[in-house]
Amino acid sequence: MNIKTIVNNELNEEYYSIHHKSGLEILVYPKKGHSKTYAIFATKYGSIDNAFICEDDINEVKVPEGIAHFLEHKLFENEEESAFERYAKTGADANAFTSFDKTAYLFSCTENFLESLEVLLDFVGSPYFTKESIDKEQGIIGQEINMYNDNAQWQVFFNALKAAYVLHPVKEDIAGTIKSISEITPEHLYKCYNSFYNLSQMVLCVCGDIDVNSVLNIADKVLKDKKNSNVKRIYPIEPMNISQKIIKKNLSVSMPLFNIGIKDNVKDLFGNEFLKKQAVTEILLKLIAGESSRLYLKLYQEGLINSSFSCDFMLSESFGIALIGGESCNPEKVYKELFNNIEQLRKKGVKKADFDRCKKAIYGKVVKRFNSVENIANDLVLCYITKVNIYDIMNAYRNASFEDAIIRLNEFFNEQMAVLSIIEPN
Amino acid sequence: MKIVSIGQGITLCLLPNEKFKTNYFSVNFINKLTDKDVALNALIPNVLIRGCEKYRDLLSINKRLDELYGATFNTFIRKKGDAQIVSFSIEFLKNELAFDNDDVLYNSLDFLFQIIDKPLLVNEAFDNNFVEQEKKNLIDFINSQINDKRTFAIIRCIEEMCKNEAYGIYEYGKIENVENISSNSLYESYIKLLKNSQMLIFFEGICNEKILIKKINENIEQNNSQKFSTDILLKKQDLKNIVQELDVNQCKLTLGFRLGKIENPKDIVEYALLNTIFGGSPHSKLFENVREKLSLCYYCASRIEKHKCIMFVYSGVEEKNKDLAFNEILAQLNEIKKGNITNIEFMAAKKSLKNLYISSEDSVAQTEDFYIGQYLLNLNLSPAGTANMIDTVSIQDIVNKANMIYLDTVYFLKGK
Repeated sequence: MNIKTIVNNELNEEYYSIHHKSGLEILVYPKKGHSKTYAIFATKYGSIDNAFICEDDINEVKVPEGIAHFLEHKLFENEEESAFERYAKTGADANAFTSFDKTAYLFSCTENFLESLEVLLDFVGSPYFTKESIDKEQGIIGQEINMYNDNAQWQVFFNALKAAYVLHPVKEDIAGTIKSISEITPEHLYKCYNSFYNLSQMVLCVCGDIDVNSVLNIADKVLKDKKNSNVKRIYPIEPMNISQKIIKKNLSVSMPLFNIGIKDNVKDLFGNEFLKKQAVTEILLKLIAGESSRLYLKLYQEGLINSSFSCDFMLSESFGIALIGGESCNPEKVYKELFNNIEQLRKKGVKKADFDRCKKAIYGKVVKRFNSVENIANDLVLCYITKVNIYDIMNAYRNASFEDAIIRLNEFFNEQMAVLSIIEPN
Repeated sequence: MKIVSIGQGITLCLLPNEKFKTNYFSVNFINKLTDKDVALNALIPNVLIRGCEKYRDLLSINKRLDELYGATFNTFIRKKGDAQIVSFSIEFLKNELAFDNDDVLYNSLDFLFQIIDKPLLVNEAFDNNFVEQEKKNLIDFINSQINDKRTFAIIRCIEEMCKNEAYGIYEYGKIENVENISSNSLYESYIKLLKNSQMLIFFEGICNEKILIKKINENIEQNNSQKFSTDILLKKQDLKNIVQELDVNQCKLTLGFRLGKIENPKDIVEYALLNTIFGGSPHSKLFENVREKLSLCYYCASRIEKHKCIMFVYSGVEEKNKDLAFNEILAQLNEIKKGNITNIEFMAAKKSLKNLYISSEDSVAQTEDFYIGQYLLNLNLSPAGTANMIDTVSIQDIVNKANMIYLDTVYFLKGK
């Protein structure tokens, strides 16, 4: 097997990339001195993948919303022992999550790493779904959905997506609705499992004080050669406009929460283009509204925002949105001030020194991610999906150019593509 | 961990470490929770980070942090037992990773001390604009606890359970106490905080010890503070039943239990194991039964506050299932009291707990929090050292501990 080594001299670190004969991509990042080893096994399949065409079929398959997340819960169960029962014997701390574009199974441990890795690769590879266990899970996930329905942070965020997107399934809740998950059958789960849990579409990332060959031995032992079918994901063509400008909801909160979303135009975005967009936009967001911006100072001093205020840019292969949010007694005013400020920056121009300072600060935060085995392995999953290496991420921030930022400032941050989501007190 | 006493009332914990890309430094002021001071102490850091002599407003403070490669400067308030801990921390890139020979270490320490020691003053008091605005922000923050219903239910349960004890005091204070603060009274409290607190200073990373101690001595004065211990209630009280109505989709059932005394590392580990078996892991009795078997909750878990010798069970349920969940939670505790713990459960709990202690050493925040706990309990074990004690515990030890537990408070947050 061909082991590729990827080295970074500044950090004095390296990792290995292996294309395993089963089709699985394996990334191993040795980290000396850390007590914990972390492994994450992920498939590029998330809540937005509700419509697809399988290789051996011509018809489009449509499945209920929330199915990727439901499947994640159900994979932990097995005919004999659940995955949690198996991990209980090795002592690993295990979990899983489903996002818009991926589902990931993970664990961390300080002993018996190889035994736990075997559990991970085995249980994700062994689906077992019955009508009874699905009924039971509907109760648990029903409570999870209810919990999120009371969670103001979550609601203000999803409403921003609902307002920004007309067709793209990113606007749907990751867990679905109580109604949509009640439609799920074992057949749905097997269909989705067989379509998206192909090793050739999956990645295993490991980080910790670990030897690459021992990981490969476990992979050789557990992973079976399977026929890898291709599946075509179908996303609707998202129009270049928003769905609604303002979206409001009432919950029992003490003070209004808001998210301003600015929708980007993204399609089939990969590689260095992806990283460049991510880096330049994040630096600009910090420059416009970060804690060291004049806008932040003004809004804070006027009592329009507090320390909960933050900016973020969420980017994926098929969608992208900048989110600026927090608590405010007057979200509409914050919205106005934000776009006035952007207009001013466009007119008067951005100072190169400010750009460099923001870049330096974000660079430091990106380097800090290398403190944590979890962050590294999670970033490696992102690297697999976006087809880059982990040091490219760091370099994208370091090499972000002022000229690109000016272009981006003028083309993005467009008020016509902006939405305002507000949660108001009852 | 190296403990250095660098003067009366000041303790330095030094943890040399090469594995991180950053260094971490924190200064912690420790005081007993009192109704009178708690709001004042909670407000002080918020006013200090609005401006100091050298960096006079938020803009120059935050620009400075950008120049320090995005150093993370935080202030926070913690409650451990009867202690209120006011913390200032900075995490910053190691010098060798800076582009242009910047001394990030020296500059970051200096930044933190500028904020703590050299506040922006107007006529021997804090800037009134800063104080008034941060009072409002703190009040908004206290009110916003209601936004997260899970935490809110736990805070409310503590308030009801420990109504007449120092631990029942909310660490951010009461709104009316915040309202009464003036820029003069806050400045007096600030001087008191510097002079009367027990001070725990924590450094994890790589630095020259002598230079660090010199820098601390230049900036922190010695004081006459005394260590104090947390009051523990051991006499059984009447069961308190509290129901609160709020506009929510999901109800929250939170139970507060009293434990026996926790005095030595063995007690800590025994209760921690009990908690893991009961509701502290995905193979716990609560997870297995309340969630997986009865399908009543998405979460139903337990947590121990070792400094105060109490335990909480918290869950989100539908109103119609409240009694079912309540009975099942108590039934599972009874199983432990009766000694119905399988060897598999016991081994799993031991492994899971060891993993938890040892892996905490990979997180600076968790490590710091662990050592602050050790300091308060007058212990000096490392997380790995604590993990080593786990194997000395028997099932009978857990059963003995379980039989000291009794239910004190039932708090139920229900929909309108």
